[in-house]
Amino acid sequence: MSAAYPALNSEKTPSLSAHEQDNNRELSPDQGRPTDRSQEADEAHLLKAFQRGNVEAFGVLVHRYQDRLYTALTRFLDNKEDALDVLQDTFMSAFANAGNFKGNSRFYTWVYRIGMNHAIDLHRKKKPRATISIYQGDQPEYADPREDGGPHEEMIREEERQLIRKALQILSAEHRMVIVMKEIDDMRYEEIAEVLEVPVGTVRSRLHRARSELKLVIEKLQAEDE
Amino acid sequence: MLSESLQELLSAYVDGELSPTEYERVMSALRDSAIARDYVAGLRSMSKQLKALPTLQCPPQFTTKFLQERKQVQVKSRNRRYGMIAAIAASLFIGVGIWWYVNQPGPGTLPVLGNGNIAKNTIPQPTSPEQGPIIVPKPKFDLSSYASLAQEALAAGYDELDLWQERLSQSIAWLNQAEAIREGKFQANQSTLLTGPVKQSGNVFKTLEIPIPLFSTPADFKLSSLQERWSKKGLFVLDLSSKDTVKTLRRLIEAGQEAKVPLVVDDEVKQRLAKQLPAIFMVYLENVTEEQVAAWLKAFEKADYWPSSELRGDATCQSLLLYSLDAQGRTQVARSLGLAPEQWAQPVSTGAASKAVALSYYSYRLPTSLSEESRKAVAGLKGPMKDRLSLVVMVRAGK
Repeated sequence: MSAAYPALNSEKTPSLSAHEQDNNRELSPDQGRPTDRSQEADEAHLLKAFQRGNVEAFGVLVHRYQDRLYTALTRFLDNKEDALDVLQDTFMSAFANAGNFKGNSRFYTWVYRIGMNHAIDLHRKKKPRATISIYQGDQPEYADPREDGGPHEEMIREEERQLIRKALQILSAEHRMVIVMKEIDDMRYEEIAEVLEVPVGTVRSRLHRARSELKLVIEKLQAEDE
Repeated sequence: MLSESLQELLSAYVDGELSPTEYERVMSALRDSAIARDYVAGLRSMSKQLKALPTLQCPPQFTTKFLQERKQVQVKSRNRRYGMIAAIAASLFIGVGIWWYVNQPGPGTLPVLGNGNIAKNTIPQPTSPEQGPIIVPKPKFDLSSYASLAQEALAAGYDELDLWQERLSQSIAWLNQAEAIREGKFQANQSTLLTGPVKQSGNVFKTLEIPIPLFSTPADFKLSSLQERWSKKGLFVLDLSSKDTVKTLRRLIEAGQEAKVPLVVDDEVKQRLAKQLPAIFMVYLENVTEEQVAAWLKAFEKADYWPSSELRGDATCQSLLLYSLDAQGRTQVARSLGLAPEQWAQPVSTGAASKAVALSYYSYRLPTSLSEESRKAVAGLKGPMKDRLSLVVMVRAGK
């Protein structure tokens, strides 16, 4: 199956201009995080190319943000399959509407907003919320193998990860979303405010409330385990 | 014990999001309070745990596969549009036939048709409610102008040709129903006829309207006040204006489940939901009580949870008729139904969404009557119709 879809790289995007190909090659380990104005300008350039009909330019943007958004969606939904579906829907919506994207916000912020709306949509559809015991999050997720420690330490860390994922799912959708944006996606308040379209002050207070709730949930889960 | 405001500041401190003044306050608190220091340590520990969750990677070839699929869809969509134009032309021919059939010469009175801007080219508007019968002239049907309109819309990126085709089919069904009424086969409590001219004999039409008082919020909704009219007409049209009809419909369905209101969602709606196509939707409610409907609408309102303010509050009850009538038209309709004209004193539909519906409605029903202004308006309907069309919910009279 995968053989039918060659990897996206500069050689596989012949319709990209030389400049666009350079941009494609510039993807760093910190990909998906617009850190400076040059990256924003680059996004604008890619979007313009796409709006002129260069589909591959959109592919560069997808490739740039797919993992970051996929991670955020998975943490929000706690289900990789659902997250992947939502991710596809998100990029499909973005693809269909990119022509109308005015550039008033960052591309990622715009896509992120679409993604979270889709995720909430799915979350609501699945009401009543899946009980914790059946979610896919129970499957272990292996972290960076370079972390120190032997099998015992890894087992402890995995238990911690399980606990934190479980706690996240108990949070209200509003609180979980803001926690994911801040702690998982490492967004600044300003970016979160842009996604949620609320004032920065609201982000700050919501995040505080979310953390308080998460702390209580973790404590409760720990007490139950004991 | 830390105050709530200090806790919030400490939370922002951990994120490095404090102003210089706030920073000074926090530093002072951290110097003086062990509890504050513990609180920060707790936040950092929790943050570390969250950040320790691994970053995930999409399946290999996600982008390439996505692009390939998009390209295939684009090709299919292009082909479908060509097919759609052919289908529209075919439907048009059938529509013309039926239209001519129902407009055969005969005696009688005519109808009240509102929205003169759209219809005036073909149908003479009454000069006063007392003017009396008006004979509908045979439509000067110009197929080429309609085809060119469709082409213009296509060129402008209008992606709703399938909807147009659907409406053409509906118009045919509608005209057939008019025949059923003429033949006395019309059953008020079974009909799906909303509003419009019904044929009595020959080319004699009478406008059938379903008079429904306006309400703006679920709290204002009083089903009992409609019962009498429902018993006569059997139908209720709730016209919700929405920026995203697909989401709004989902919300309605979810709210229906929550309020235990039996919703009958027709096949077209299911298909459109599956394809994420915004459109006009018909949802039927059967055998409902006032309490159920009120609970349903309240649940619908409560389900407004979208994080984006663009979508939040996107669905508002805008009007209760499928299309707007001008004051003269409303008076005429009221008289024809034996109602007090005051009941129709205010326009029932003023929003852009409803006008778009009205426009579309007329555009298929009287395709040759489009004024230049209306033609421009139709051509202006580009792309996804998220913020242009209304959600129409039909509520069937219940017990």
